[in-house]
Amino acid sequence: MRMNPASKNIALIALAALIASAFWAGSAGAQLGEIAGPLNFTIGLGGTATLNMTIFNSGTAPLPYKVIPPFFHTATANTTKPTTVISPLSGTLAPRQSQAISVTVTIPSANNKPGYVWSGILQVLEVPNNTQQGVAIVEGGVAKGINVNAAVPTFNYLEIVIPAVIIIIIAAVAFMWKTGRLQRAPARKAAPVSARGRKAPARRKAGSRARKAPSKKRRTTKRASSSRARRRRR
Amino acid sequence: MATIKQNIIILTIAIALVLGIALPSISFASFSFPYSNTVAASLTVPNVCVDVLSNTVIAFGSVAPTANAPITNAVVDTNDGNIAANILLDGTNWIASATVNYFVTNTVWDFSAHASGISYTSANSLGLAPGNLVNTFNVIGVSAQVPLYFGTTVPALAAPATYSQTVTIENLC
Repeated sequence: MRMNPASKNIALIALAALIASAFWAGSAGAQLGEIAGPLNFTIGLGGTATLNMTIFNSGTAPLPYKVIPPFFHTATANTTKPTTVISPLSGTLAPRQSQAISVTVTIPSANNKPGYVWSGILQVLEVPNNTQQGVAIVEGGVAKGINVNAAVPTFNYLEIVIPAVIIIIIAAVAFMWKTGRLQRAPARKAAPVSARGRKAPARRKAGSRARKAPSKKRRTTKRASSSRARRRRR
Repeated sequence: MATIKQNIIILTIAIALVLGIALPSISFASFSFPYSNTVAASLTVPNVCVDVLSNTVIAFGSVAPTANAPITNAVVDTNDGNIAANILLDGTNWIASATVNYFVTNTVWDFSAHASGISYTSANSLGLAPGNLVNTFNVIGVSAQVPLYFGTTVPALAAPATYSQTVTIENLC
């Protein structure tokens, strides 16, 4: 059965209106996703660290988004809360596109001590394309837990022991120098020289034999040996 | 004759010896044709959660001061990820202009619809965005759908105007 052209046009317009209303009512909604897992920071006082959160668009249409920085809560009163720098804070994800959001956290030194812990929620929301008045606009999105720990400093033995050893050595050397144990031995005095002056030993002529050192045998004179002989004869 | 025979025998033995020594030492280089290479590839699929909402507008209609819009306005949250997630909620104040507004806690929610019979003072209220997210303590499983029902009450002193607010529904994983 052939359709009346007017009826055909009405059907097409109705179909177009149906499709448009579906988009207007937001039936597709947010299709924003994130990689699971909290962001855990362990930072020394005054220190900074950066971690990434990854979001993605699992839908078939571009997805504009915005980032809400975390509000930190802690059980300890009178602390200075960590500060965050987040980049980017907004953007548009193409279909099937993913985006890394950099989160940089700094723990101030003021009013904080090692061991303090803060927690917060980082939110990434789809920006709705709806300016309707007199209604509640519903935004969908994903949230990420952030935990920040003020690191307890670790004890490095070398940083203490090596300077202590050096100081002890310096003190010991200074003490020994002061008490004279490190002083040089006095130089030997030169032997007194007679008026005649010491005669230098004569140089040996080439080819001659060195004089034999006198033996250590007891010297006996001819006279002494002959007198002993006479005594024996008696 | 004997000499020729001997020569033939010797020659035969020599040839046999040569072949016996040479043959085992002959090797053929092996190759495959055509040449092929393999490349190892790996892929890691992380745990993810996805937030898909059924609608982005809740129209409570016209509500008189001290009257309630029943907790029957549904928004269905679907988790299209591969890991369960917690549902968090917050919202903004109802705002008509810079000076005309009333508080966000007048909007209430629940996991089941209440056409009547629920006290708005004991119902779950929204927290004020940002920084006051309400944890519903409801875990939405993989590919699961969780309906959330919203209602609102209008304070007695609310001025006649057209008010708007924003409600946020997030999956945390």
